Amino acid sequence: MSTTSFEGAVHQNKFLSDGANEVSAIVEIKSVLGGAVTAPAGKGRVIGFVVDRSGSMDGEKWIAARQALAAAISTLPEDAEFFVILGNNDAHVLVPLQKATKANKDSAVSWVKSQTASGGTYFGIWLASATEIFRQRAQAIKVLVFLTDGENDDTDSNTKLPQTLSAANGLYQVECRGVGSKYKPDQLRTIVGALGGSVDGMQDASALASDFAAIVEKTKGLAVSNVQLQLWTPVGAKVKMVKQVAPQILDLTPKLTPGSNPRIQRVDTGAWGEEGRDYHVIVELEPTAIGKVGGPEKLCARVSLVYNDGTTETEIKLNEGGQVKAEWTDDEKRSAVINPKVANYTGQAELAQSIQDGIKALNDGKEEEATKALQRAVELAEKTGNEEATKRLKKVVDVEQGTVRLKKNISEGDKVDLDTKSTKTRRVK
Amino acid sequence: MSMKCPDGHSSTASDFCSECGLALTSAPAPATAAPAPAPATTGGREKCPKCHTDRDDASAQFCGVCAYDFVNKVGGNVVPPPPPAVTLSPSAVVDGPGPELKRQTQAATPSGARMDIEVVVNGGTPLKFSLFDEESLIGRKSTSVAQTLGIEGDGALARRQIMITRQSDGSYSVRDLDSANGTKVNGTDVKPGIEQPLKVGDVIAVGEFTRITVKAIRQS
Repeated sequence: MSTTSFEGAVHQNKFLSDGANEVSAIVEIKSVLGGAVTAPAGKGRVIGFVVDRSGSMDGEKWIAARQALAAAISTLPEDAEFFVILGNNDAHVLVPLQKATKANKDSAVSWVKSQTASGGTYFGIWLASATEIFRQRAQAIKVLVFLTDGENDDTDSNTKLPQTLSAANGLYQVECRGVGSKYKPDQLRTIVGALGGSVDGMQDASALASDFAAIVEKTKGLAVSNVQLQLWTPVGAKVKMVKQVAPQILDLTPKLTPGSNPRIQRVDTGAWGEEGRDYHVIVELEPTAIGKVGGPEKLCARVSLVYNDGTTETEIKLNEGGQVKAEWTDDEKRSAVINPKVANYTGQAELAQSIQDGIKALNDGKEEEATKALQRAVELAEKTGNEEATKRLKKVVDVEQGTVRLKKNISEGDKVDLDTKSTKTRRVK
Repeated sequence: MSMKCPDGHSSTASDFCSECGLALTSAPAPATAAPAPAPATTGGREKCPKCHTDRDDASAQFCGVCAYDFVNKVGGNVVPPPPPAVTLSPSAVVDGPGPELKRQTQAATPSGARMDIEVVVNGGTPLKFSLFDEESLIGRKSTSVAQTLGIEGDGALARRQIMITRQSDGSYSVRDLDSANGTKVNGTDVKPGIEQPLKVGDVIAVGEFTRITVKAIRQS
């Protein structure tokens, strides 16, 4: 822990017009690791795998998934622990929690290679089983690799998944992956929205191996876990929104919990390696908390990180960078300017929403609505310079002289790919 | 060490008040200082606890802004900000159900020429208006600027954002009034002060997320 430090920077236009009650800022947080990365002493690192073995996986996907899983297991660092769950109607704990020694990894690989796929898809049951295992290592850095190719069958127990997710809140994070074209991106977003992590997908199962390898690589670099984002706000102020906006959009507002005093709220951010994450914070002020034109500058939020090692809590201040301020002015030239980073991330969040709305309308057969939403998405992708999104959009729509038309034969794969990757943002320099 | 903020809170932070966030400039309060007087003061003047306005003088019973009763320590109406909405002057008329409006300016323009527009703020419900005047000023809703159409809900609009003008030949054009965030027509920035001809279907983008679409132009 002592080797990791965090740097923060706030981007905002602090000038507000007379009576304005909303302060919006982008907070960039960068972690810097000093020296070589090692697992925090005595805390450990657990990597779990939950892989869909339902009937639909059978065939090429199953061969590729087993290969990717076997390859990922064999590259696990020896100081880590791991487990493997194969899921269909049940959660089959193929490899229980154990050290990633050479012998254990080899036997796990041979087990994986002999498995077959059949049965249904029950996310709630699989995740409940993984949660139970992770609970045995409260202080470790915990990452779950979750792979599915289908839709959660767990409809009668709409209770099972939500219950599992809320019980596991903050315990581990999930690298959620969809393969093929039949899975539901919004179901993956629900899991990651609750537990943190990332969502991605690949149409072609052969891409799984490199993706799993990248996840293991990233997990090796994680140096601190149980990091919370802390927001101090003054009397009369409310955190209207706190959203991770890079590398992926993740709304954290519903997960805010009260802190040690009434001025403080916190939210889990999981484990950190050497990386940068950007957050969009909007603070809303009650009329009595709004400052006066010409009055003193007002601090509307102080952003910091809190690290908990199980016994003590350490607040990590973000040098200069943690302050979201406001100053009220009559000068419209100053108050009407939108900070470019705030504008860009607002646009990229709207882009993600437009894509999701467009795909939903498309799936519901509402072509006019879909065209309208995707038209907006194309405009926003261009405006925010999100070239990856533009590329994916152009597989679903034709753009001629700024007008968007749905393609005649949209492939299911391109559609689901666009939807899955909608929350990926382009980081603003 | 404890500090006093401009509103009289005692702050545990030394840069901004740990209660209300106001910037601290004064020297730290001596550790032995007597507790602050109950009502917050600035430069000897008491502040209204409801709206933070300075009390007129020590004998004034009511706050001049919110009518808080300093003697009985009750009352004080602090009006919350209104929800975002689009409001309009009588010369812009809503199409369909909406607030009751006088169509007086229509009578004042015997030609009956008009331009119909649709306004969408932040992806909200589209609102339709008709502009009857030769010149229509559109911007962020303001009580100090005489606007044809005042738009709420988009803080990035200028109070004087755009002017839509009917030319002598009956055509319409728009010009940006040197607004801080500029104006786009069909996605292209327009130069401030330059008339940009408008046709049906054109989209004027202003502020952060306000879209004004030209729906119809009538010459009659």
